[in-house]
Amino acid sequence: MSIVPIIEFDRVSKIYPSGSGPITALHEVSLRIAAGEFIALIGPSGCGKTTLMRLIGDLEQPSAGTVRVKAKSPDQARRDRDYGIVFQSPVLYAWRTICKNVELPLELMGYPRQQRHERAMSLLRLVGLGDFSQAYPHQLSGGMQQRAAIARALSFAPSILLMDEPFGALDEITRERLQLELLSIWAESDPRPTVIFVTHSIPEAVFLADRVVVLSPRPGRVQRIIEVNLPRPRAFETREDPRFFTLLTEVRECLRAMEG
Amino acid sequence: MGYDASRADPGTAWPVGTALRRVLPVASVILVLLGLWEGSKLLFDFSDQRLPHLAALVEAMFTPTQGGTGPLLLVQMLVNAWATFRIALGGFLLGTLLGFGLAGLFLRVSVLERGLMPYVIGSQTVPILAIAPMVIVGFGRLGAAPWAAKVLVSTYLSFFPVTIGMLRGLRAVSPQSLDLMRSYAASSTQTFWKLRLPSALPFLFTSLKIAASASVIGAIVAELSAGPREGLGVMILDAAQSYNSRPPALYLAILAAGLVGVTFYSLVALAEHLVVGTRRAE
Amino acid sequence: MTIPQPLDQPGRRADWWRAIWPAVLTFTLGIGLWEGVVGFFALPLYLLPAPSQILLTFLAQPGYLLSIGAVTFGNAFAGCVLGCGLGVLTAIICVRWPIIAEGLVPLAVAASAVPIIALSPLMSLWLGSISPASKIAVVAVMTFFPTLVSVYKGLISPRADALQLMHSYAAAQRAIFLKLRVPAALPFFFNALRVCTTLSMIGAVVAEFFGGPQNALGVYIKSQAGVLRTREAWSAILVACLYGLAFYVVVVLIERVVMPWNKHR
Repeated sequence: MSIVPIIEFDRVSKIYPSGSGPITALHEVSLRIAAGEFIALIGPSGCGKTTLMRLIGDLEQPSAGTVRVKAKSPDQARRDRDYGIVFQSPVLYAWRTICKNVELPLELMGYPRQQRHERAMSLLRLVGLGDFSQAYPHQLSGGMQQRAAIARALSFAPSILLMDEPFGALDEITRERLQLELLSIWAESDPRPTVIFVTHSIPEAVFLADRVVVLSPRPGRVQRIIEVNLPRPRAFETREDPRFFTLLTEVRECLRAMEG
Repeated sequence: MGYDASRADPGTAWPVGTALRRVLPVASVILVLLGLWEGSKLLFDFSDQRLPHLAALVEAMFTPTQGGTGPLLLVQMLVNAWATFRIALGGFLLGTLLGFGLAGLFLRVSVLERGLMPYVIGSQTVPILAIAPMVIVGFGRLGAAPWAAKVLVSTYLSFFPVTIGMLRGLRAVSPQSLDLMRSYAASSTQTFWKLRLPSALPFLFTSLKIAASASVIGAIVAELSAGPREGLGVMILDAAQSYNSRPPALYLAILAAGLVGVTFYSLVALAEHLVVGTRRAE
Repeated sequence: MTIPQPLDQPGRRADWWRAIWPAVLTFTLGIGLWEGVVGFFALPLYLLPAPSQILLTFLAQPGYLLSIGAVTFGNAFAGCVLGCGLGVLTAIICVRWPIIAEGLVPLAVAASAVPIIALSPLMSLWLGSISPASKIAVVAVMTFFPTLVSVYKGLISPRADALQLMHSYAAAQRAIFLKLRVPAALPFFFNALRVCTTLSMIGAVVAEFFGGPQNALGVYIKSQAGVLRTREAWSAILVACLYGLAFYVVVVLIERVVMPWNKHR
């Protein structure tokens, strides 16, 4: 790629000490991600895809090699509030209303009350939760909670969205609907955030991403990067496109090849 | 994935039926206990000296003290209960403050926790009543007000549960919520106020309730020992000494002590309901 | 996807030392400070004796102090066994017949807020101030309510789906109780038991303040403190702490054996 990368991995390794000797979660991973790209990280469990995401977000430090984000260290990028994170569980604060939860990052960043309320409300409407702004998290279904978590991640318009299996705990129907919603929110954002989306679902990876990064099991390495040349905007019909199936097969074969 | 109305807060409406359903079993157990009281008198032929009739207790409440010249026993009970309650409140507040301080300190400097925690736990094996007289005499000689020593004894009992509960609560934060705060580059002060403290509140109130009753015990124990002749501790001692002439007084003094404990506990429980009532565990 | 957590395994000896050095340090500092303050300000003996004096007083008659401690501890132990035993039994009854729980458990919660030591003079009048029965009774009442509340909470803690799973195996009530409720209640039981150990020793000492045999710790402390022989009183307090701590430690050790899956920090 000729574009200047927004995220750059240069021979990054991550080794965890453990009772039965050190475990190499990632081994010499090199990867460049362009601004505004939608990247899906896929691989069998324990391949280090979450670790890779956490390295970008400065939630872990590499054992060797360097990670650069917007030509800065991940630590600096974090301090500059470049990251919006969505975990598999919504991690909403039980003592705050949905609206207050979405306001949380804005509150920490010192936005005035009026402005953060308006911003939170407009995001809640965007994710279809406009009527539930005053509800408490426990009053919402799992899918609604996860939408609130996405609204929270978007609230301060971060340039990078880190998503760790955000739809992993949802049922298939909700999941496919949220995938579509995520894509439309992403497409409408200006500028478009760069998305790092960790998943273990092959259709999800192919449907969402510009490029699917396939990681090998321990030690985690970049096995292959598959370009997804499906047209955007993607719609419900995209899943019925023959090219979609070809790509599915390609990713599946790649994952299977590693098992043998 | 609609709005689940059945999970909405039931606290908004409190139908009379549910309240009755809750109170009824408790009331019937109390009735059974009172029945056992009178029944055992009949069955085992306990003398009035040993176990007075319930009616005698009520009657004693409205009998003037000091051989007819003093105020009603009920008034005396209330005055003493109030004195004990004040000491307990002082001990509770100081103990809570101390517990907060220690928990905050232990959270920030873990070496201090490892250094001091064993002794915080060990402090609870010290029979406080054994020390109370010496603390009170000692403070008296140092010229401190007598109530100060009593408050201190009460503090000694109440700081422990607060320290343990608060520390547990502050630690009970999920790693992911901490990651979230980290990703926002939140300062540790912000993390404390916006995350750790609110999520510690349920733990905190559990231990505050324990501290409330502990502080009442401390106050009574301190009153048993020395100091001005007021409070329920003194009343219990006096009633025990003059038991033979007036058995109901001891029962009533014990009842008053119990009621002060339960009242204090209920006040904290009420505060808990007001502060964390809207919240539900996930 | 799980991330392996860093574990530090090797060098158990070194670990052990690393875990306890702060405690040892504060102990040394604390005792040193106490000794220093007493010496420097020349505090009168009746106010606060120095740790060295307390230790010497203890060493002058360790056999006697430990033996009167054993008398008091015996009461504490008997009361604790009785109170906790009845507490567990009542909790089981409450789970078996929920209607009883609805009436009893709220009252037990309230009773936990009652200063039980206030019952001591009454127990002395009923059961005799010299006899151990009055002390045992106070300790039993003291430990009964927290155990009841805690064990009941533990027994009803299994969630609906765990119960439904047992139901799907067509498990008998007894099997559900033994295989699901009892293991779930164990941590709650031991939590209560640990609190009860220290509570029972304090309770036994305190109960003796309202009268007891001459050869009991509470009586001894009261009489010595009454004539401002604080060294003697403090050395007896030391003995009370020793018994209380020993009781606590034994319960913690039993807990480790019974619940190896529940690792404590």
